[in-house]
Amino acid sequence: MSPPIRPDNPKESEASQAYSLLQAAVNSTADGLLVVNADGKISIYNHRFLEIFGFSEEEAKDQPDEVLLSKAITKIVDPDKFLDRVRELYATPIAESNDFMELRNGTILHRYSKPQILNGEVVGRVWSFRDITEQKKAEASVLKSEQLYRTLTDHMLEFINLVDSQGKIIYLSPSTKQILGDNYLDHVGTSIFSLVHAEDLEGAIGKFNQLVVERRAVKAEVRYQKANGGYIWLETNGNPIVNEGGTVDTIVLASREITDRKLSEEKILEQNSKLSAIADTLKTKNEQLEEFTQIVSHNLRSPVSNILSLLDFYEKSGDENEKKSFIKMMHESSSKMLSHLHELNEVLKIKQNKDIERQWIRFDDALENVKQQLSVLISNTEAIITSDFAVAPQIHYPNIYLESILINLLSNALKYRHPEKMPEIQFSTTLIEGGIQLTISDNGLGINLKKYGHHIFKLRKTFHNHPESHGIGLFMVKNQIEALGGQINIYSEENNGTTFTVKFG
Amino acid sequence: MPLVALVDDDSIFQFTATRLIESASLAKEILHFENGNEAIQYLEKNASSVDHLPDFLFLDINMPIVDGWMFLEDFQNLKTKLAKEFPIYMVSSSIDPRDMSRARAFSEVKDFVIKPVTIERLTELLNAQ
Repeated sequence: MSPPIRPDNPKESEASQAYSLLQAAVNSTADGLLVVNADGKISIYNHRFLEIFGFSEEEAKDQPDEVLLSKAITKIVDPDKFLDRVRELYATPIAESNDFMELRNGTILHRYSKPQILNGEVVGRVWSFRDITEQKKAEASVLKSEQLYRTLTDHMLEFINLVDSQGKIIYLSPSTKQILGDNYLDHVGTSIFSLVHAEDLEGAIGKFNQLVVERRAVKAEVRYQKANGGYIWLETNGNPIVNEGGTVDTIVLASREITDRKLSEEKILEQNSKLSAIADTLKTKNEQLEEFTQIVSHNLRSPVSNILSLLDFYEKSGDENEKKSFIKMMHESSSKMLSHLHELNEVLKIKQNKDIERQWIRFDDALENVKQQLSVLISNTEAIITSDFAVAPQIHYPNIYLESILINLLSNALKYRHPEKMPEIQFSTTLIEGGIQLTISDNGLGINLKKYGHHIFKLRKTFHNHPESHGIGLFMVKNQIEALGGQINIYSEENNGTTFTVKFG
Repeated sequence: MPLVALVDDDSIFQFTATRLIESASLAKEILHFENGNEAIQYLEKNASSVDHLPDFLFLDINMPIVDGWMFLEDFQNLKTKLAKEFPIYMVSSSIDPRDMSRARAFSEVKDFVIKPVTIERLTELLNAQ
């Protein structure tokens, strides 16, 4: 293997020493080196030069310089351009020059050239070639991906913006123009939160802080102010970019419009609540219908069937006295039927009369009126009646209904008093969610609700052997209260008194 | 001839039913109860006496205090203590099918009779077994 460095005239040992040093230095550099003297002859080249241009040591050794150089030139992509540069350089021999060139095998070289000066004279040129292919490739790929992302963000329908950890806007994608108008870039440098709807601000700031502190992606549905007034609903995905120090300095906010979805959601919710209101009404109507079937089936049909039986007896009987007694009983049954029909009619009236006129009534006045109507019963039973209407002293309610409620509940309490106790009946009003509640408590007989609870408010239900039991009062009261959207409830224990609560609708 | 119990608060029904049964000589005696509670009390009192327990019981649905349904519930606890078994006929003016299917759920209830009750139907029911 011939030495790659060929000194012109190595005569002395000093020169030999310098030569060896030079050889070591030249071969230890990563760049390809070539020194050509003023006559175009090669003074020095190194292994790396051969490697870059794709020559083997053997090839280089046996080639005359002109051939080696011209062969090297053929490996360059644009040899003419290179030769032009060489000619220029030789015209101005002291010029240093920097350039890039590409070889046919795809290698990209950084070419540096500098004159070789001896005793103030230019005696040749040093050419160095650095393989920068990988570096160039990496640069190109960074550039390409940057361009790709820029193109993506610039052309995406989503609204992309970058903010700092304080929410200050750093970048707004061109699509943002749709929201912020032509001058959307004026908002760069301002706070993103100045665009958020007041009602959504607290939630948005909360999410943002969560993102910054916990360094994790968050999602929020937020209304933003539009340039032309009004608001747009956006679903924003926030992603933190964590810096080397481990803190969040930039946040990518990607948003898409969800106004239509939000409006549909609102509509659906609205429709839903309407539907469930209708369903409730239907349920109530259905229950009422069932109740009516029961009333018609039991209460109206039974006197009719009696009359039919009696008529049959009448026809077959020859005894005038007996016939008279049948007529009397038929009369009784007819009257009963008439009174059932009347009651049914009353209930129907209540159910249809939802818009019955309301007046302002003081509970004190209403109770006083009812006490006067029941004065005989009250004085006979020596009942003690107390009341406390301080919390809710008056109500806007149909007078006749309130009177009916008070008279039925009071007479019930008096009727079913405990035989061993002095009757005590308390009336009071309280304010509860959605209105006024009236409470009536007594210390009377009470009732076993486990046994009779489901019958309390039904028509013609009585639970005590009492001559004045009709079983109509509570049924009517319940209908009156419910027709206006209220509720009546009973709490009782046998021998331990009864409490009714009326929630007025 | 059987001992028949009528449980009904309707005095006119009690009258007409009694008259029909007597006219056809369908019973040796008729027991009258105004509501379920009275009937339960009687059965409890005479639980061990075969002679005093009825052979048939006609039960109305709509009654004060203890109605027909409550009677049937109370009867579940009572029936094992009774000295003899007897069929119960539900008698009602109701034509509501829900009442009928509810009645059928009780094994003691052998039939559902819709008022007015005819002599033919009574004869059929009291000659059953």
